Amino acid sequence: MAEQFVTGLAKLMTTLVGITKAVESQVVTIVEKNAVRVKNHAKTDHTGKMAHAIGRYENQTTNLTNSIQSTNATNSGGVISAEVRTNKEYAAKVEFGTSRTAAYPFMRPASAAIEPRFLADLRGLKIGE
Amino acid sequence: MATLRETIHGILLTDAQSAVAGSLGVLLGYNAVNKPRCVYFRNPPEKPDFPLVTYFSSSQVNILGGVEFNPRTIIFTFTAWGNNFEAVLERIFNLLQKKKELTPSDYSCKAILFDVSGPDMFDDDFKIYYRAENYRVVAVKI
Repeated sequence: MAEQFVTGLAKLMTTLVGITKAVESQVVTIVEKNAVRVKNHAKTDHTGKMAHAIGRYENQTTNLTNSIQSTNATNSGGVISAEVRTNKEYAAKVEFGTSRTAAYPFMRPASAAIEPRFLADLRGLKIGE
Repeated sequence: MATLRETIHGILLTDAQSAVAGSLGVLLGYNAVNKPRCVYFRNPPEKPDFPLVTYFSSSQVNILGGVEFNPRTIIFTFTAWGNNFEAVLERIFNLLQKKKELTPSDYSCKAILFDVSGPDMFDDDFKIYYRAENYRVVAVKI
């Protein structure tokens, strides 16, 4: 009867764990960096009827613009996330509109615009170096 | 050839005038005499008869704030007004998912994809609940 032996399994596992931690660390950085990009985009002045803009009547005070903040990325059991948010109660009404005012989306267009760069960053991850 | 907006509007309108169980027509209370319209572009009418659906489209901007062309991503936002907004939005989801693979005559539209759902909101003017949901439509022409 032929027997097969696997050697170096413990070393392989240690290496894989090391890679996972290194990758997670990079992903945390990427998530955080792109959250800042989304935040900046949401604050940006756009032309046309795209996102809200400084100077629009909905945003005369710039309170909403100034309230948009991003959080640091957190790693909770492998789920890496960061938030871009505002504490203004009326933000949802600006984003989605009301029965009497048109919607001026600012959060969703920002995340959509940054999405390709976020994905490109993830594809560029350096694994095993 | 119907434009993208006409195509989407046609999908909603056909269902909004249907009497089939579960259709938008039943959910929105379509009545040829008393409530001939249940779907509106942009805002509800001056004297709305709830429940109803409004929708609008906008172009997706890139990181520089500009608009991409060929392909171009159009965001369709559907808002269901009324206490049964969840059922209405679910019906819209089912209608659009069936149209995921549009025919070439639908103005070179590639796909309709559900994007995000907004929070449940309360309209202070009409004292009614509503919610908006976004769909991405990738199109070569619009």
